[in-house]
Amino acid sequence: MAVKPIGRPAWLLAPGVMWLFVFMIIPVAFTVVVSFWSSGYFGTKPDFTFKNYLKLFQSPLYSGQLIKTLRISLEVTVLSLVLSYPIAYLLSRARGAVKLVMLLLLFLPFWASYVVRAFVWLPILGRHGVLNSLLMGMGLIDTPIDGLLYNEGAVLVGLVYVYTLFMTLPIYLSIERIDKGLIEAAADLGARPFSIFWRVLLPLSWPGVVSGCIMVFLLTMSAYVTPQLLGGPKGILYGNVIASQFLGNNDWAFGAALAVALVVITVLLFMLVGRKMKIEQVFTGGG
Amino acid sequence: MSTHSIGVASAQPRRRWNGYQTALWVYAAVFFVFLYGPLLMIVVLSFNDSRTTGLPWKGFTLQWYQSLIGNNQLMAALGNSIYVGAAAAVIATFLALLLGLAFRHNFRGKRLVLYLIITPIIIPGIIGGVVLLIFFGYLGIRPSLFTTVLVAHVNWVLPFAFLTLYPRLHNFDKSLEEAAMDLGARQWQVFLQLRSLLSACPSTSSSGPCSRLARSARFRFSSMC
Repeated sequence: MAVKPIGRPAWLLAPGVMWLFVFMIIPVAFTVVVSFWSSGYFGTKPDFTFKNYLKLFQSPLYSGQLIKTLRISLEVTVLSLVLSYPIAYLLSRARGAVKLVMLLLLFLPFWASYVVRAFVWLPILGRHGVLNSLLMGMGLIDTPIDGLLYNEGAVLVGLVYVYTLFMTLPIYLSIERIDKGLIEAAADLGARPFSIFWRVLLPLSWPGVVSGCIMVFLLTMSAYVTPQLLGGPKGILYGNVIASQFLGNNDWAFGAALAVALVVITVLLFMLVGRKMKIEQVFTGGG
Repeated sequence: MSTHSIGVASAQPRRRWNGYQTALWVYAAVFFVFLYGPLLMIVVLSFNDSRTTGLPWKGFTLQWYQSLIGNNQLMAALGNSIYVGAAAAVIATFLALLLGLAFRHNFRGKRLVLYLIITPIIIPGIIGGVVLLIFFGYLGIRPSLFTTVLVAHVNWVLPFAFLTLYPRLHNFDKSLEEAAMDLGARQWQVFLQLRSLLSACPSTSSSGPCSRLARSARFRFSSMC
């Protein structure tokens, strides 16, 4: 007799589904509604207006921020990909204790808080920071460089540093799944290292690459803490613009519209990827 | 599976492979220096007897740690993080466990439910906070630790807990269950004694810390809700 799985699906599903429905779906739907309301000096009131969306797309201040954030997200993604791929490859080649140590070394920093990992760049890039001291100590510069911190470059460095693991891990997992015999066969047949990488390794590890890129891109798109700490006025991103509608400007309706726009971009991205792989695979390293 | 290394066909390609291999290891060394350098630097600087965070080194001091322990507000915040982290991990793991068990059945709309479960990680982190801020704001629920902050954290870690638990529950050896049932065990006994011991344990215990790991990265929620 085949055993039926335990429990009734309806009862097992109820708590989780209800939680997500009440605390996720309804709030998102409500935010969409609020994005059509209007905010004024006396708070936000029900309305049906497109002016929040018009403001987003017509004002260069906001649409510019959105485009800039898309560009930086792309830069961070490409940079992390290039930096992480060799590490992921080495990790999959390593055996025994070396592999264990490498994995541990890779994970350990990510157990430190996200905020801490962004913060560490302040005393390094700052005016009296480690980098300036080092350069002055070596006699390369006479006065400290001010421009190291509070700009786009600092945000870029910080974001790549903070999110690398999200790129390394899925790529490693998908390289690990490749049949090593294929690589050996290519080598035995005389393929050069580069063509093995380009024609065997990369195509076969593609799910991991896609999954890592999406994770990093999305995380950067909604980055808030890193640009807040390292960006200064020049380096703020879209996430900071959203937050300031709630924390400073008190323009909830416009903030909601900004949020909805970001969700739409995200969903479009996933629909694009969804044609090639299952969406849950994005979060499990393409597995 | 063969164990010999890549490119053993002749000595010539092997030497070239070794060259690449060395370059890769050198790169890895540089990578890890960049990964750890900044973190170690912050540890060192935390002992620096200087009012500004940075160099020059002005001598060793423990005063920053003394003022940390002496600062009640900071210690309370640390306690809050631990309480909310633990509560969120327990709630999310419990919900994810039930969902994982449900996914062993066939039911209508399974894909839709799956999309629902992973919605919190598809929605950008800051939006997850914003929608709850608006939602709770209009419900008149004031932001506080065990209402708004806890809900936001459970939302965020639930998909991670589910994605780590589900494969474990799914690939569970059904013959063990069958054997137990044949020997007269009831369904709930099978679950508690077999599934929880053999399958779910390694995974639930890992999904706890995993969720916590993900949660600790969610500063933005806490700062907004």
